[in-house]
Amino acid sequence: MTCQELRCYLENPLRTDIYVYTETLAKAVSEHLASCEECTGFFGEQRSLGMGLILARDSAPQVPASLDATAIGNYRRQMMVGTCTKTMGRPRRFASAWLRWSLAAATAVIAIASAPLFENRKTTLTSVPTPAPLPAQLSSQVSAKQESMPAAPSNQSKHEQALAPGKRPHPERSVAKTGNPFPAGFASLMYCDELTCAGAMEVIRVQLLRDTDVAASNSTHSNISAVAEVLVGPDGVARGIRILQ
Amino acid sequence: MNELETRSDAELLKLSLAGQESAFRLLYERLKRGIFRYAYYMTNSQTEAEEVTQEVFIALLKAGAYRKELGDVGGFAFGIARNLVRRLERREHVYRPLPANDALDNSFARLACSAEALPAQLIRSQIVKKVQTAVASLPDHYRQAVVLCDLCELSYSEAACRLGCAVGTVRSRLSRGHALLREKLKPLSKAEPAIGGTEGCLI
Repeated sequence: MTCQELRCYLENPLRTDIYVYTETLAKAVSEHLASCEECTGFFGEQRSLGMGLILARDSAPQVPASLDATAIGNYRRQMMVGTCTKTMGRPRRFASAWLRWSLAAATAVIAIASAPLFENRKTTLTSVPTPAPLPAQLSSQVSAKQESMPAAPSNQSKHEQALAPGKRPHPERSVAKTGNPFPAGFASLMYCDELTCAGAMEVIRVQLLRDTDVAASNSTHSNISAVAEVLVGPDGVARGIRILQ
Repeated sequence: MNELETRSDAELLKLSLAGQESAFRLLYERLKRGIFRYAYYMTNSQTEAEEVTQEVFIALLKAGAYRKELGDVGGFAFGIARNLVRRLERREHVYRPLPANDALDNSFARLACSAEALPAQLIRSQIVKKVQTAVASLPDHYRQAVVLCDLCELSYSEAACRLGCAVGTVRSRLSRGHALLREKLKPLSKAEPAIGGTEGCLI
């Protein structure tokens, strides 16, 4: 017997028991194994591999009873769902269509309702539709004559006109980036950030009086010491001031 | 029940889908062991094997999932199990490192030396663990062949049918798989004579 023939016989590691062969074959295998060291080594390896595989095969756990119960339960549930689907096919379809349409309608309503909010956010510092009431701190010092500014301060408006509409800086963004949200020349009267300076502001031109003549300011115009523009937020609080004269 | 037993798996599945629970029970009894064992040997975890088995039967029961063109129901179920096992492997890949060959060698040497001190049960479980680890470390197509033919006890033709390849391919893959396993488990075969006594043990 050659080595190749022997390896053909011992190909399967689970059947390396030579006693299952016929007497003559078993004798030939034993004789070859006794004379060939390489085949003896191969035979040993095959045997141990076969032993390991048999042990591994026998060690597999049995299918647990809980799995049987679960599988049967799944089957019953599946059948029940299938029956429900068959009987309730149309209403389910109707319900889903109705749900889809109602969702679309609700989305449209929300979009329409929130459109003015977005419009308000788009207004710049310079758009002043109506004059707002003066802040309490300034009202004692300013004269009765007030003017509301229809246009923005010149420097700022020129700058904004020069910019393309898409590139025009958003007032709120400029607050976040630079820390000074006011147009050129305006001095800050209070701390300003994204939260406190949100929304459109108004520009009010005021005439400041001398401190000594505050009491008698109502009657005369000769006491006027300066003319200034005040930036007023939507809450009525002055945010910045710019002295003109 | 006797009448049902003569029916094929495909017929049983059809009856099951029609709502006949006894048909499903019989089909389940026929297929569950093979699927469970295959999943167990492929994942080395009883929990995952149970999960896979359960999922296979849920997938089988989906109306229209099985068609006659797809072959026998057993093969189709096995295909589902194989896909589920692969999915599980991808999911758990990160968490299940295989021991390196050195670690295997050391553990076998230790096992051989401490053969007398440990109960036979423990030794057996250690060997089983090492064999399972070695099988798990085989390339996928060799592992499929080894698991189906050696561990699930399918014939070559059945395994070929499950794997969708020729019988000769299964045989060659199995032979190559055995060669790789022999390489990986060499320390086991070297240590084997020492299991009977402590002559070969230096400690």
